[in-house]
Amino acid sequence: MSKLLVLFLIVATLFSCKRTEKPCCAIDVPFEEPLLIDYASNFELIKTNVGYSLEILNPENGEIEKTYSLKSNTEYKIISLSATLNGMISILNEQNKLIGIGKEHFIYDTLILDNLQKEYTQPFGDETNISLEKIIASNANIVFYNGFGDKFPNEDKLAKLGIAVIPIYDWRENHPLGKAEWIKLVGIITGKEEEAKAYFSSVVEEYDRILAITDTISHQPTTLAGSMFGDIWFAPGGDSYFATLLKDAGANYIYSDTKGTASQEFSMERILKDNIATDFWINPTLPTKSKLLDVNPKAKYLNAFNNNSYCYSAKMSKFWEQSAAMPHLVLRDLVQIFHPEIEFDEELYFYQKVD
Amino acid sequence: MGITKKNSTILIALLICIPVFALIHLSVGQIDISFQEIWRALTNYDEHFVNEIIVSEIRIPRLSMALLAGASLSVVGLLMQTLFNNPLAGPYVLGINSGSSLFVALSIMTGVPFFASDFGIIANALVGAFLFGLIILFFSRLVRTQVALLLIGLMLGAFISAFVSFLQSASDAQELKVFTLWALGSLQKVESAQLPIIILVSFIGMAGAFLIIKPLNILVLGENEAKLLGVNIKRVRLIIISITAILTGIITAFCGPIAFVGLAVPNLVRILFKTQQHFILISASLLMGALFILICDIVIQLLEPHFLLPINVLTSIIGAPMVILFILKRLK
Repeated sequence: MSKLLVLFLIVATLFSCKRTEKPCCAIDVPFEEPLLIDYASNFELIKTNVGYSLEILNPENGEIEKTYSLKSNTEYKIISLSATLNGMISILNEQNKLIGIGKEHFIYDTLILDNLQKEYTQPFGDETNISLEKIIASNANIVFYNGFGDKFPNEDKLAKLGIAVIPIYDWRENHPLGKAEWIKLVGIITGKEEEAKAYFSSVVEEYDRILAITDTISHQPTTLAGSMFGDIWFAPGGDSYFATLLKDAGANYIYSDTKGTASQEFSMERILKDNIATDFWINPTLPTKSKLLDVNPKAKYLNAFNNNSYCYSAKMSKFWEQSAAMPHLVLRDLVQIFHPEIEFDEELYFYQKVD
Repeated sequence: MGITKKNSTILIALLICIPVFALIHLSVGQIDISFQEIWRALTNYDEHFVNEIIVSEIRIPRLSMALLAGASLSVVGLLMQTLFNNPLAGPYVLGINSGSSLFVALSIMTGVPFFASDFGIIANALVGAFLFGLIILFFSRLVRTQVALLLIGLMLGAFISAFVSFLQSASDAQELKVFTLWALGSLQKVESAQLPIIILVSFIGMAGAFLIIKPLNILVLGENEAKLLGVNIKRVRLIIISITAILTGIITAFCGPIAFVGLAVPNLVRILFKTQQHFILISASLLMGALFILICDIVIQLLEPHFLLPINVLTSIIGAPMVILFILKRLK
């Protein structure tokens, strides 16, 4: 009898519980305003009555892949697994909105590093095996990821919990200014829309000024880019933003005729055949010759590796974090590297010689 | 020694196939290189010609490593199968490769320059292989069934790979990159200058295998019978583990882990040759292992214009189904 009573009480309690319903969302009504994006081809921002509608476009076909409603009255707490976006957040001085990052050793900004030390910002690791519960516990309401794979793990579950998971396809842009333009999205998320727009305008202005300098160049040195991973050499595609940067810097990129923005794969035989006499090698990803030879001993046959004055390497985390938002500085560095006859007052900002 | 006519015919066929496929291996690749250029690179190498650099510095070391890796790993597999009296034993399955990997991971990720040097990596790969050889030998004394030993080997492998993953998560970006590249497995990392030491060490290991043919032939009868016939079992075990460590260590150090060759090839040899004579088994494993990796690498090179495939992936694609077939055949 007592068991029946307990059962009755449990059932009665269950039925007496009220389900909390989500407040009905306002429908976003788009305004008839001109598009806000000039260079980027992988996202669109459309002003609506509640803020902005963000459309992420598929880099392969340009079709709308995902749409998000970004409300202007929302205080966003961000987890960003994209080094590019971390750099843009730093430029807008909104590091305190960043409560999560990918891996600590990809971080360059000192304030984000301080926040990591104070455990205000948490490392979430690689996007392929990120902890769902850790994301939920962090109270983040937006997650940016690189979109290297097909889908973010548990994306649908996170969406049900009101956490927007947004792929950042800046790395598939075909113009460096298109890559930098993603700062406009960061501006909207962090409530610094006008600052982001002003910053981007200044970048465009400076990029165009440096580009004008290279108009007078008559000789275009040949260049190779990328590096070996396993038995495969990954080089930027001919339509990628980096190929555009090399062209704008007055260099003749060996693989400029290849199609697509994604990396191209080559065997070492092909690289040697095509590049035995190439003048420059950009972005070998390791900063010293000895480390480069450790992972790719055949590199010593490349003229650009052997000839001390022609081989450069990026300063890892600084480059990953800042270069997307500062394409004018990447361009300036590359012009300095390819054309030492053009004098600049500034030192190289991102690049250093591989020694 | 009693080599049947059929077995000697297969051995001669293998001996003929190897130079033929070696020539094919030298001539395929993304760059068209004529036989005259290959001949010039072999006889009168001139660094001023790109095609001769490609032959001399890429294709010849790659060919040499294909032959050495296939031969060494197959001989090791055969020795382990005889030692443990278990046709499913092999350096990969029993965790010997994993032991090497663990010590290489430790050497790369400790940040100590000596350990990360070529010499440090080789030494650590050898020590790792030897240590895990001893561990599996210890377990083989405790368990009675063949399946139990294989399971212990697999568990050791799983434990080590978890530990290596932990090391990877704690290491910095550059160390992680160096280790990840090594772990992918490749026949192309070796330089022509490193070949003499690899050839020397591999030859010592293989010569060692031929020196213990007699006790190996007796060991097939079972350990008790071997003891009765005067074989010093402890010494033979230690010699086999040492040869295993030398051959697995040197190949793993330079090519990364290569799966299934050591398991699949000796089984194929036993099916083809139907003998317990270790002179024939070792010779055939050596030749067939070399030919197996050689053909795998030719396939990889032919596929290169479409997609680039690591050697470890192809040996697993071919080797794993072969092993399943062997198991099914034994169960029948």
